[in-house]
Amino acid sequence: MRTQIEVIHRAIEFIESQLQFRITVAQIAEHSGYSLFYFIRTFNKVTHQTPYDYLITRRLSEALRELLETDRRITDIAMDFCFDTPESFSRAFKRLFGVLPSSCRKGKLPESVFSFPPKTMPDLQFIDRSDFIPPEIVECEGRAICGLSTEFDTDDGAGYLDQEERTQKQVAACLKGRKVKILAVRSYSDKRWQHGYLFKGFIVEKEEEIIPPLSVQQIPSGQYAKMVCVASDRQAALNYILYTWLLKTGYKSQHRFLVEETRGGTDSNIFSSIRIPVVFL
Amino acid sequence: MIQPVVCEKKQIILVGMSFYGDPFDSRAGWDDENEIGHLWVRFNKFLYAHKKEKIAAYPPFYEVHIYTDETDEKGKFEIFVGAEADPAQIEKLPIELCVKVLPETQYAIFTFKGEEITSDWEKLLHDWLTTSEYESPYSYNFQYYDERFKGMDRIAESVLDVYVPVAKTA
Repeated sequence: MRTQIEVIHRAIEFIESQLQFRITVAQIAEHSGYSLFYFIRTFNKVTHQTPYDYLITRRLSEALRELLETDRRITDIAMDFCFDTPESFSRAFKRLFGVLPSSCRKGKLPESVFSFPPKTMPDLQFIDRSDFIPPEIVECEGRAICGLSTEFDTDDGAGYLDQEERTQKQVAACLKGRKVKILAVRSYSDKRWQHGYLFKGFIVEKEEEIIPPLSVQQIPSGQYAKMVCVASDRQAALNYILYTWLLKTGYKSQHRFLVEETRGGTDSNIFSSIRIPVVFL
Repeated sequence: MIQPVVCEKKQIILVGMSFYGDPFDSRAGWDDENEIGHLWVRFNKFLYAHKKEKIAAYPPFYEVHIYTDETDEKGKFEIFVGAEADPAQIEKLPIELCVKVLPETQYAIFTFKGEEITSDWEKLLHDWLTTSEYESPYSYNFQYYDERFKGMDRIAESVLDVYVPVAKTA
């Protein structure tokens, strides 16, 4: 017998195959083998999103991709993704992305806009963890951190982890035995929040002298969405904040960077506290 | 397959509160942290605050699930929770409450015990309807909570009846 997560994952795969067809939530429920009522209960429990919201969010994300990658008319793209009129498409599009479809044509994608990828099995397993704690909003003071920078790419398998570890060791070597907390700042250069620059370092006071090869990076003050997770779940936690939690709360991510602090000893109980800057709109 | 008891019921007039939308939008599960749970809390608080006014006769309590034009497409329901009203009091009801009139009709009554209560019994109802000599003439069903239901924290000892309006297929 399939677990609830497996049933909902199959339902998500079914939704993905039907984005350009006029399916109803009742049809998705029927495909899953659950009654409609039990299905919407379970879908919400497993994904923290309603099935209808998920369907619309995914249709709009694929429509955004079409807008960016093709020269097709907005009206045709709207119809392809089951919107009855260009007006209803534009309204839904603006509600999700904060901009009109016409401002997302080739080469004109606004900085704040990113699409919502399909939910994956690791995303669902992360939400299902018994120690799952939802994000919270925290106010943070501005800080300067002193350390070293490297590139990272989470698509690069274990390679990027080796690189990160080397950077951590280099920073530790510069500390010459000083016991301080090491922070990581990941600045993402892509819309999928997958690769960019990693800066590892420790908090310094403004007047402190910085000796090469170390350099200083500023973490701005402001509101952050913060989430605590097992360190190996960092990407799933980031996905949760970006693609589920922000949608429900009215907050928007303000800049594409993340601040991470880790604590704990052995591999299985290293916890990460991650935070990304947000603004309430 | 589970077999219900079919019986005739007179019109039932309920007084209570309702919600429209996806009732599990905030969080799912059989606890207070979804819109149905919030609705029960709101209704019970109101009854407690107005206990001297004899607004309704309870227990039993009713939870009515009403299917609308948007239910299939978007997964949105109307959920009504309430208790039987005194018809003489209806004109004096406080503004916070509303009235539902369940028609005189035949019902198939399904009884669920313990963990069955939190299972997908709606599927059992649907499967029974598609194979029985009955159809549902109305787009609602209701759960009937009387003294046999001990609460979500004592679900193993609890009993719940679910009523589905039915009529013999022509």
